[in-house]
Amino acid sequence: MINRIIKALNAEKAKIWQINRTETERAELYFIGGRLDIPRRAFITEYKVTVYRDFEEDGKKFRGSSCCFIEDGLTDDEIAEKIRSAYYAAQFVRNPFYELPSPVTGSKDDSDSDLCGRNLSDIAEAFAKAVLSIPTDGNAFVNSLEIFVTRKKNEVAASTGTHVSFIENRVSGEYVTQCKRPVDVEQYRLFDYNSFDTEALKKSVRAAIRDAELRAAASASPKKGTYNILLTGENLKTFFEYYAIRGNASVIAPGYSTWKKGDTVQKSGSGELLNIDLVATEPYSSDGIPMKDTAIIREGRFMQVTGPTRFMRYLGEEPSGTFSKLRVSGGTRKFEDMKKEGTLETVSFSDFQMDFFTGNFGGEMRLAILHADGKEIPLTGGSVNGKISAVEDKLVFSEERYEDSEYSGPYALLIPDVPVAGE
Amino acid sequence: MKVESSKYLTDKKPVFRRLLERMLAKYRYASIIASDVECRNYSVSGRGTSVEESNRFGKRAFTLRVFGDAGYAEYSAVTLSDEDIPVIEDTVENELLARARAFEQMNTPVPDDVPLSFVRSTDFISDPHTLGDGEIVRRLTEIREKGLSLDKRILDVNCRFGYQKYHKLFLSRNRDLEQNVLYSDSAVVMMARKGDEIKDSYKSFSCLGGAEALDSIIGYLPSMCETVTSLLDAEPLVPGEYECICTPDVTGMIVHEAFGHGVEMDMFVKDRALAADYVGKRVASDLVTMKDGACTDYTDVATYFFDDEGTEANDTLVIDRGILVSGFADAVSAGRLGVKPTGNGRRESVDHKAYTRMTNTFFTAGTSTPEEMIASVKYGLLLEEPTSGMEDPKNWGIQCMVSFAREIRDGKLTGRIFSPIVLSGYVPDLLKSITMVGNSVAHAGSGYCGKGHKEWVKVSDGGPCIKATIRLG
Repeated sequence: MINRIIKALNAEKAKIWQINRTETERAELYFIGGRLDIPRRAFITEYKVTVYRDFEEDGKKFRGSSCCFIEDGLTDDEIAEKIRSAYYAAQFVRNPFYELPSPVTGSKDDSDSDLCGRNLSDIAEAFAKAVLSIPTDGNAFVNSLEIFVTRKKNEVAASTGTHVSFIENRVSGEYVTQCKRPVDVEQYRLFDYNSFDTEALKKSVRAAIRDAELRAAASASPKKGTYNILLTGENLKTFFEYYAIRGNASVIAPGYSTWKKGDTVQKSGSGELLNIDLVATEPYSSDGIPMKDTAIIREGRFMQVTGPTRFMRYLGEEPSGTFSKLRVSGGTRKFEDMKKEGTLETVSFSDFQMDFFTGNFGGEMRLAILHADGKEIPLTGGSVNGKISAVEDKLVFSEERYEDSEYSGPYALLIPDVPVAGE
Repeated sequence: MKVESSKYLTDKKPVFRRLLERMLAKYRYASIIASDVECRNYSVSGRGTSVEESNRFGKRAFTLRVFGDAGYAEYSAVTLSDEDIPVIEDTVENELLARARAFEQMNTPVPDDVPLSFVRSTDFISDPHTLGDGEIVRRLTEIREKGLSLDKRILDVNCRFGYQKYHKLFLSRNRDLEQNVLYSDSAVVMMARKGDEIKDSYKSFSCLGGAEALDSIIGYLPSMCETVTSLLDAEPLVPGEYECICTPDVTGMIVHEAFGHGVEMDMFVKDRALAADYVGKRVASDLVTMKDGACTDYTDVATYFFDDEGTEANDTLVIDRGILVSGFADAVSAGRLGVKPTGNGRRESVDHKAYTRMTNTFFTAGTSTPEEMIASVKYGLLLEEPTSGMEDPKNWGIQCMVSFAREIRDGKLTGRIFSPIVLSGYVPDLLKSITMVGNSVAHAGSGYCGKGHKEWVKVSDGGPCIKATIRLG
């Protein structure tokens, strides 16, 4: 198919192009109350074709681009029409000229993954059985479970000479735990692994069952006021992502962020200074750039911009590819010590959010634990509404670490003096 | 004009029919949903210009569904030829149904297959394809430049337009359905900066139709400019309970996030919805009537003729004057619950699983004018521009966020503005507190709805202005 697409590109005289071929195989299992709802299999191969068109106006150079999707089964005439339409559209995309990434060739298979070579349905079955084997007491249990095992073969070919390929394996999905008494409640969790780690999923499910039990015991919302908040687990990625996004070329180039290399981007105060790296989770970016871990924040200073090729070129930087995982270093306090008198430990939110333009963060708490009078009081409801500029000089990280497919860093973050809406 | 049929689906239909017949010879029930999609998105902003096809929410693909001895299974792929049929047959029997027997399976009644056959298409005024990429980019550029010229504090104006023309074919033993649908949406985000902070205000437009979704944007730019520059001086709100007037788009978010997700009846099957215990009971003030429907009485982005399981589109009365009447259901959940499916079985893309999903969801109109509603408030807030929401069907907790609130004192807007605003509380408390309902309904359909944090489908929501007591933070 790639040769047929190149033939169509040549016929259209589209000289600059990139083809992303993605062959995706999925095995899916869905469970309700421990019983199988439905098994599914999917086989999707598609080709994203990006065509570039250079032109000049008033002595200024532009590089327009547009893209189309081509599926197996399209006729040569249909392929030609799609290429023609994309190439036509590219002339209206008046983006200042930029160089594409330098050519790279290479291939990376998945032989270092313990998911390599396994039948996807076997993997899904093993993860399902691991969860279903967790003993429960009939009061707190797994309400429902969805497992998606995906093997994706990626190939990037470009007119520049780039030709790379790599294979990704993932086990992802969601589950809901439920506790019936004293109040019937649930906890919702997502998961995403790139290894055959059924134990990690079991550990996560057991913790969510315990959280459901705690939420069932929660009879009130927090009283409105200002709290020292303990943010935990996956929500830390959303919090720290503020710094990654403000330092992204696609935000700096149009002037949305004013950050420059060397700027102090975190006020210093009583808290810990930030050290953040972006982690390469794939060998190549979507435009074929070899990915490597990159330090973006050191001791509260902005060290390196990253982001999409066009914006990196506009900033005079070498293209970096786009990252999906953050690593945050540091952590000096034990989690247990952070639960000081009056601390509100936010276990789960409906949807913890960060506004990357204003730095406002917050959400409605589905489960929080107030540490007061030597007791742990489970609470539910109420909302956190903080602002990063008001707290960033006072952040305290736990020694304990948390790791998932998009975040590696402290398990807990103590944020002082955050407004909470409650009873 | 009517949206025309897909040549691809017309040409492939005999092969789909042969696959179906092979499956019907072995299994209790089999069906095929197939799609062909054309989707194009345009944007013009300080980041540059973009004209791109998208297959995120629909692609050329098909899904075969079969019902075996105990349960059911699905197989999805991009394309189909006669050579593929034996491979599919083997995968369905030996990979899906045989493996399913390793688990205890849910009881799944065979769906209703009453004979039905039609070809239906939606109407449009302006074909985006005919209007052309150049003209669409020119219009978006004009809107951006006009917006930037309004105030020196405007940092950027991000203008977007997109359309999706989709064709779907559904085949079962007794059904042969085809639909051809075109919807479009557009949005403008105006940004202004003060120091290191950027505030924004947006307007969106959507329609069951074509490029007409672009027509009315430009007239809203001055009011957006006034809003976003006011937001630069917005104050934080003291958390507490406030008497609030919600604009129709905020009402829509409450309808959708706070209540709509809780009456998706696949959640009843999972014992994940508190609403299941409240059918026939009061859940809202008697001023509240709520509907969900994809049938063509509603001309917004989630209108269609049949859903992704071959059930005809419907109009569901959810709340009637404060009393919960019914949820809405996909075919499988309806079978398990012993109720009729309502045409709400939807897939993010044809190769994904179908879930119960909302379509066009809204509160119906009341009798008050917005002016009367504001005048009735001693001290309170006018909530505007919803930004996000998250469902909690099991416990009816509210998480909704709006961009800002305008202060109302002694029945008048004071000009004071608070931002950002988080709505929380217990859904029935909010809905029962509604004391006034506006006399005109507006829908917004520029967004997508997720099930949890995935499976995004196009929806619209809306309603009239409502007056309610809401916990804000």
